[in-house]
Amino acid sequence: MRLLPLKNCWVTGVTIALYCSLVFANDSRVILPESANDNLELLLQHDIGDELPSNYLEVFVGEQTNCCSGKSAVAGRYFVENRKVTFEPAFEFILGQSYTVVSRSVVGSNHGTTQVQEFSIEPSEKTVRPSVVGIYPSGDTLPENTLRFYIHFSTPMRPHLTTKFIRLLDAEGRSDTAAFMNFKQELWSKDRKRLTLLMDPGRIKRGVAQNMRLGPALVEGNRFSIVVKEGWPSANGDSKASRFEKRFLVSERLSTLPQIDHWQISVPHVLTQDPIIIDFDRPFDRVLAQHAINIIDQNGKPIQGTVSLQKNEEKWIFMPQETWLDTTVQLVVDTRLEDVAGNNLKELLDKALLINPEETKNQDLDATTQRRWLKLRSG
Amino acid sequence: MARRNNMISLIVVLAGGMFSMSGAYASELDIEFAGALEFSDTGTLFVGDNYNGSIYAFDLEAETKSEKVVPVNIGDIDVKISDVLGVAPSALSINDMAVHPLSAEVFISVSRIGNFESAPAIVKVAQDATIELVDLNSLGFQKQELASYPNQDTTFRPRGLGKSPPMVRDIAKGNIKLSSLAIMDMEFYKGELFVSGVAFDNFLSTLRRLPYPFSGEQTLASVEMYHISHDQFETRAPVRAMSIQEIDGKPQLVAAYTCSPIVLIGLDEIVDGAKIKARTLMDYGNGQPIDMVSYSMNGEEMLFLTSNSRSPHVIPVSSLNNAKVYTPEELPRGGKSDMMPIMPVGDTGKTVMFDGMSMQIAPLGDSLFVSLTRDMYTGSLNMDSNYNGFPNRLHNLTAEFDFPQYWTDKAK
Repeated sequence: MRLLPLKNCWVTGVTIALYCSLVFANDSRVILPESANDNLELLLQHDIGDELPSNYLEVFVGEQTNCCSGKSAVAGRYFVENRKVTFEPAFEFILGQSYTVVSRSVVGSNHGTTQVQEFSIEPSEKTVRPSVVGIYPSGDTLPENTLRFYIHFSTPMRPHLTTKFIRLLDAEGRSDTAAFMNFKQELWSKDRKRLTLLMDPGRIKRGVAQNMRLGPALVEGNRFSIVVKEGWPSANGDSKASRFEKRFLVSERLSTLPQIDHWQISVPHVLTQDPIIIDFDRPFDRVLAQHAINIIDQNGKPIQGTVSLQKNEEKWIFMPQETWLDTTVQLVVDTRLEDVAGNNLKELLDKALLINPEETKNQDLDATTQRRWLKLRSG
Repeated sequence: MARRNNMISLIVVLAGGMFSMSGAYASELDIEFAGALEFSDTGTLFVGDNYNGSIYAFDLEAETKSEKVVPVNIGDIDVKISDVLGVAPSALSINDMAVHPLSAEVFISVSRIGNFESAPAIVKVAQDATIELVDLNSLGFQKQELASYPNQDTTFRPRGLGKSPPMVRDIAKGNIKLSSLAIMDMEFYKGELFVSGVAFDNFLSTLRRLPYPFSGEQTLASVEMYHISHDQFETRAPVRAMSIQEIDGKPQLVAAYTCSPIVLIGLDEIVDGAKIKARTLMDYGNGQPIDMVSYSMNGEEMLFLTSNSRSPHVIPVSSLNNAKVYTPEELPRGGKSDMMPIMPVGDTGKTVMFDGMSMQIAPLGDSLFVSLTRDMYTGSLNMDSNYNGFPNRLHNLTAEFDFPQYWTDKAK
């Protein structure tokens, strides 16, 4: 159908009138891409017949001022559907790169207009390609009662897709669909770059219905892997993460309480900025270990510094911001600190495992911290 | 790849599958890098993919034969290829070039650096100098995965010059993967594809031999050679450029290495598991070879060797017959650079004039070379076609002939 005359537009209503005036101004309309993988579209007022679609719509690299005579157009494919010409570029558009679109409303006639317009797709801050940058605990060998996994992404991710993209596979590649806790609410960090994945505690705790019915999800002596399947979209939907797999061997259960007396603590010299290094008696929860252990001075004031975890979360390193001045400092450990199996300093996750109740006899079960004085080495 | 109309892409995939030749190793095209190029005599294009360790053979036999071959000249070819690929020239890296034996179209393999990753592309420059993206998805193809392919982790160890420590740009070499040298040069000869490069992850200068059409069968042989200017036997650095020629009555591989020995290897020596001892015929001087192309000049077969650091070298094939083979015992010991009196050693070729530097060169018809040439003064990269007996332009030279008086006086 050819264009409605302008006066007809007026009688049909304000919205239509506006549309008509737009169409009249340009005779055809180009829909520009909004993201790197979008196509371009040209909406025409007539069929193009046997004409080449490239006579109607072409995209060139560069700014409008230098376009486009003598230049080759960007390669791609055309699709013609009724009065719509779609250009699908052979490759994605480059973010931040200027492109110029040349569109024609009628080819080979003086009546048509040629539109030249420039566009560029601005990179958003979140255009880092999404990928899994780490899964913790990072060890290749994990205890059978491992409770929590942290999956770190390079960029904020779209939520509510955990069950679709994450799998626990056994050595034969069989998926255990009941391995992880299935909350309504997923456990994402505020920036949605870290996902906390909880093994279903019902599978871990002995004698609980789930454990009785399905057995533990991880079985000592066997190999498993956590797979993040390909295609998880980033929060802004720009692109998708590639596949990631963490393989590990399952070792025996961690069935004793963590003991800070068993930690090997290496103390620095006074008047240096050397670190305090703790070799734990087991791997600890990465997130908790970064906050639950502090160093205070003789007046009880926290000493500032940065904490890093190494050796599969079995080594804690505290790098002070300033030179050590006190000859003694205090190590303060929050008793809520948990090992990778969710055992804290006061109780085991699975109390059925407490073989020796004497173990906790000397502990002050009301204490919220455990403390040790550390004597720094003399300069 | 941009979002596509699902129905159309389905048709393309099906069509690709239908036209795939029998014995194909892949039904869907999964090429990740378009590197080394080589044509068969009938127009099959071999493409080396250093990322996924495979060689693809694309059926381009249907290209129309060009009756008369004309020179193709395009200024700023890199800018023009970038225009077609929708990127700025800085996002383009040119990997190799080859000329279709029938259509005389020039095929160039490139990497297009996108928003997050690079994509392989092959562009075709027609005889009328138009540039077009080759739709690889629409071509029938075969894929051959390479055995003992290097891993994608091992990189070079940076070094300084002599005792001086490595500079920043030397250290950057520490990021380059050995696999980038895994497919260096390819030569098609009588139904077989010969491939030079490194195999495994720590050694190994290797020659591969693949029957075509690919059957899955492949031959791997390690190559050792005496490097004259380095004064050592070398087994790691691969053959950079090569050509198969009839020498001493049998087909032999003439192979060029960095800094810059030329060695001979009989094709009959390339058998699976062999440790080949190549025969070193010459060292024509320091530098790194890029291309070795054969052509005929006044009825004589010649080899034209380009380098990234010296003018091209032209070697008559016949000069390699009965050539002396050099061994360490008969040469003074120690490293040898260009200025040492003994250098070059055994050189039967000549260094020739070439205006600018050729990044890629290939024969175009019987009497032309087509070259991607970096202009010395403007830095621009141009596609130039010149007569192979004197492959030059004169625009950067001023000589006696350029003076008007010369012609006036000559006319007197």
